[in-house]
Amino acid sequence: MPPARKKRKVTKKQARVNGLQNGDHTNGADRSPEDSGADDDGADAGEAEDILQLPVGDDPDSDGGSDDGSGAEETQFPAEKLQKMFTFMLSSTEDRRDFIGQFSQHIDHEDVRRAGLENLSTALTAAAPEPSETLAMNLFSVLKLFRIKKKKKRKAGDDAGAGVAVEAGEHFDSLWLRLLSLPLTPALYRRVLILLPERVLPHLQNPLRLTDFLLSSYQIGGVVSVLSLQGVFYLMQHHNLEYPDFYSKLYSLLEPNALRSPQRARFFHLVDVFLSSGYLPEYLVAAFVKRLSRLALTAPAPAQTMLIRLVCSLMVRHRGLQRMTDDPRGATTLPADPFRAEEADPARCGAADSSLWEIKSLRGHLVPQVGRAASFVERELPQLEHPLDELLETTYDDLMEAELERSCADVALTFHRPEGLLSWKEDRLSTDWKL
Amino acid sequence: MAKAKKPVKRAAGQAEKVTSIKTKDGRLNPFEIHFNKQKHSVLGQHLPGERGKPGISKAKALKKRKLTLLRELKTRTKSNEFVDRRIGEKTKGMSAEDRLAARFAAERKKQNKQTLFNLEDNTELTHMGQTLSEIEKYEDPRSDDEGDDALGAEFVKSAHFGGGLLSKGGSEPAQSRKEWIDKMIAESKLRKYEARKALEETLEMTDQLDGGFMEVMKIFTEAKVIRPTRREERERQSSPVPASGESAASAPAPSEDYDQLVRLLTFEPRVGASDRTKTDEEVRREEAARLRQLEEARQQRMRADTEEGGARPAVHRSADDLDDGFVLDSRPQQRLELVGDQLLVTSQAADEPLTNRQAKKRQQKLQKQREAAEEAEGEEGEATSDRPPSVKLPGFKKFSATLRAKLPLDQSRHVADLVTSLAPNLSPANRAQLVTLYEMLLRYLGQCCHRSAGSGNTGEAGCGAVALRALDALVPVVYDLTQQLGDAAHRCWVSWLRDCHAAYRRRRRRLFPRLETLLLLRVCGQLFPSSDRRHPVTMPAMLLLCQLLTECPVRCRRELTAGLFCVSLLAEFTSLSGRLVPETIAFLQGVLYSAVPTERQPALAGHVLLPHQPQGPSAALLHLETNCSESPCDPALSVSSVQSDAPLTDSDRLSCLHVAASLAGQLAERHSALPAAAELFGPLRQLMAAVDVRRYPAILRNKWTACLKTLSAISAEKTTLEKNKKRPKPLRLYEPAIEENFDGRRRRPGSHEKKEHDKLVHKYKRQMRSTIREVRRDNAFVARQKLADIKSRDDERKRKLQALMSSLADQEGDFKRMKRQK
Repeated sequence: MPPARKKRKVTKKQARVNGLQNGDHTNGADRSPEDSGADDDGADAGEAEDILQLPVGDDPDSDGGSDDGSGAEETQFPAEKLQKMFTFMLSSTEDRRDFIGQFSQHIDHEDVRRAGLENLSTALTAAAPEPSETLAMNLFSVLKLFRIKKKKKRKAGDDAGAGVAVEAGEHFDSLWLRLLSLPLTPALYRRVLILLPERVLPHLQNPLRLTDFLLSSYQIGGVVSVLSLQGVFYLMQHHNLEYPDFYSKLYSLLEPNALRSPQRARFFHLVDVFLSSGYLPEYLVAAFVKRLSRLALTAPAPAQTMLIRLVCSLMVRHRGLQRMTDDPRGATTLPADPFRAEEADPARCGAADSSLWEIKSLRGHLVPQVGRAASFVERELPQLEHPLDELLETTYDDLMEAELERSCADVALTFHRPEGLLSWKEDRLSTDWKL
Repeated sequence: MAKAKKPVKRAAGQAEKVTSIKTKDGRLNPFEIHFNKQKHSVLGQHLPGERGKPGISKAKALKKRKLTLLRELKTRTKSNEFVDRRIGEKTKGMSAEDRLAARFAAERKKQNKQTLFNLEDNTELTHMGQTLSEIEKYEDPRSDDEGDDALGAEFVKSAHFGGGLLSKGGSEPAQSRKEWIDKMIAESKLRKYEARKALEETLEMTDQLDGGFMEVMKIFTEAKVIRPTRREERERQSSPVPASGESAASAPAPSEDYDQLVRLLTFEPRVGASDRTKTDEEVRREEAARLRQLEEARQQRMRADTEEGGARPAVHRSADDLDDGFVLDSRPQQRLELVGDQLLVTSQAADEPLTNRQAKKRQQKLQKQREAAEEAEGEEGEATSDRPPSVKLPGFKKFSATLRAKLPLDQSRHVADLVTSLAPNLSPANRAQLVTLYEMLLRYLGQCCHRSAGSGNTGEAGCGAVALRALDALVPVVYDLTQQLGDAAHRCWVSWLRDCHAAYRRRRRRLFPRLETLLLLRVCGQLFPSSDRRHPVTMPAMLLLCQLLTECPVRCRRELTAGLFCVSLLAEFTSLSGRLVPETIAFLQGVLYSAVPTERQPALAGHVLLPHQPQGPSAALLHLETNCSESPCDPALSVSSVQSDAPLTDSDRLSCLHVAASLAGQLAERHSALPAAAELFGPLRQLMAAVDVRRYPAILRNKWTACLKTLSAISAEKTTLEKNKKRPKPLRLYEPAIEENFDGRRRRPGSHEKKEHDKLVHKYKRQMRSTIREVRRDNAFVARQKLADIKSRDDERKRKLQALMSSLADQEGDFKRMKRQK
């Protein structure tokens, strides 16, 4: 093969990687291992591509030509060629992501987009590949390329956009349902769930058809449950889905290890969104407040600030909950905390009679920010809630940076001279440790 | 000039006239008085304008206008006027002759104006035969007054009052009165003559003496014995060169020597009384006071969060406080106390806790004192010794090599010597060198830890122990150097922490750092106060420890001991401030979980927090392999085990469990008073209760039960939260405004200046009103006058016309009569 051509391919691949990174930011956490995997097998994928260059023909060379042609006469659109390409992409055995990455440059063309979904669905039915995880991966990669335009544009009279949306609607629905029926790897599952509420559900003709998928994915547990809850929440919000257990499920998902998972920021952002309504019953919010403050008790320091702020925001939204920090009966002694942490039902956990002792205990936390955030139990509630966004992603590193950047005029020193490493004042280190 | 003066003079004259208008006779017609009736008459009150004389005042005003305004009106369009200035013309009661005489006198005066004080040239005044001009020279100091012509008292007694003739008649009766008088005159003349002669002689002698004295003086001035006058001295200073040449030639002036001596004496340094050496007890007392102050400052820094946020401590206020910001007395109140039998005045100031600012100030003061003391020492050093500027520091390799070659104690001695030789008062460059030395020391400490680890792995336990001993011995030296460097040390540590953190982050896998980081973090806690609310060094250090505990999984002995060491460090750092670190509790939960027997683990798995795993090999890390109830248990873990990669043995497990239990007990004890302590330590209690202690040795079992007891002693009892109630705002009650000196008059409020200003404004308004009124009346007067003028002119015209017409009628009549007669 000519060396120049190979070089060109490499650059294209890089461009794809860059494009992915720029364009798709929703699946930040689980993208990286896959990408690295794609880079690793890049060499043999390239080989395969070279062999299978024929069905695509001289596609890269006819770039300019196809542009001109499509502009001049529409009847000459190479639909069959496109169908062939899709059939190649939807392999049930081999990973075709590199090829799809190359194809992604054509998706900018209006005609490809218009005919794409239809051809894809025909290719899928015609070829009828074996359902496998690889197929699911390939299909997902292709489907991800088709961004449906918003309805607004259709109203504005943009004919091209309207055409795609109207014609493609049915195919879009069926293709996604087909994808969801395929076996999915956990990573792909997460990516699908992330993509669903933002880019798929709003454009489906009948989004309620995904309800079963979402509810069954909730059973998987962990992050997947949270992500599926987001889809369910969308359906409840926009399509009147009746789902009474939603908040009790969310309640059961709030457990200490949720704070230590990599999806912490997304999870708590969603929790904030789910609980943002002022029309939620007070007993329910009280249960969440109590649950969150229990979480805060054992959470790592950066998450603690976020949790406390979230609790504070909930109190601001539901001012009746002030009795949890300021008992109208005055300080009353109770035999134990009326809140039962083991109770799964937020309605019966008795949170409404409890107080926020947990937050009060965190007042003397080591990290000053946490202590300061917790001071809201001693003061008047603020009029506005605190924005949660910048706290969601705080880590120890950020705290460290901030502390190390702080300048100090004169630094305090100790005033007891140590005798040695372990002998110092009334130090207790020497009881447990020796040199 | 004369013209310009005219109207002024005239106006003055008229004004005088106007003011002197008076009623013709002092008595008033009672019908002319008008009374302003009062609605309520107050006894003894006198109001202005109670009664008025309208007729009189109107007449007065009219007269005044006639004299001033009318006159002006009449001369309004006229630029000149004749003024009669003949002397005596207007003076009433002056006869024509007097007038003539006065005019003549004035004429004479005018003519003699130039020679009014000119005495004639040829007349010359004399005194005792000498012209006054001669006398005025006053050349002769001798006064003629000296010859006193006053008669002697004896003579007066004998000769006056007719006594002379009568008393002495008996002795010389032959003399007649004339003879007697002649004789007396002759005696008198003789006496005067003698006196004059004596005077002349005296004068002559004085002259002679003066001459002699001048000659003697000439000798003195030539020898320059006399102290020069100021002017001479000034002249000499202004031209120093010839003068100095002169003085060098001649002997040194005695006055200069004297002055020098005096100056020497005045500026001689006087030796003050030196401080006496302090006794041991005093030194101890001062040290104790210093420590107390530092401790107060530390506690202040520890409690700083009340200032940052949170409710401020309620300041006591009386229930009667009016919220008007009035403080009775902010100074420390003195109170009387009964001590024994006597009353004593005590002040409360000493017991009050310091405010934050005071503490800061105190800290600064102490620091300043320290610096001042250092400077003073430095000055002394400079004054006493002239040492070479600085000692050259070796490079790090050489430095560590020399240190490594020595025994631990010698190492610390060597470094201490190096520090002394680099004292900053010896050379200003030494400070920078000290900082370099500090950095090298930190590096060397890290190296020591590293070496101890390396030898531990290879099995040379001795070498590792030596390295750790060296570290142990160097800590006091590092402490001293830190005290000396202060801020620079802080910067070193911050950069060290930054490096540590970066090194930790760089690794993909989260692993506990090695001993060189952990032990230096310990040293860091010894050098900087960890109890501060937010210390620039210890705060990041503690955050780093928390991060390690949260992120690093525990899978082997090294990680387990490192984690336990981190927990110990955090517990130690927060021991004074008593702050809560949930990460330590979470970590201990994970550790204790791995000691729970496998069959009981699933029920407790919910208490295991990531990164600890509820399943797998790491969940059984602390399961004993054999029954150790009889085997010995070392209650203390070795620091060096943090480094070693050796597998866990049962004795290690026992030590780890002991340390973990001790830490759990320590934390539970410290935080048992927290409102959520039961929730916080509940999992720990459950985990510890689930552990099978029968296989543990007695020491550990005792520790375990003691710890469990502490944990279960935490009561689940709760008191509901209540915020500090805001004080209800009291109704504003006003004090009755009691005036000290009540005189029945209401005074306007405000300062003296304001009152004066108001008074002036009031006056101005009144004046303005009256002026406007006057102007209006003037206008009315002028209009009336003009109308009167017009009327009178009209009348005149009519009268003339009538006269004319009547004369014409007469003529006509006459003419007709003559015609008829014809």
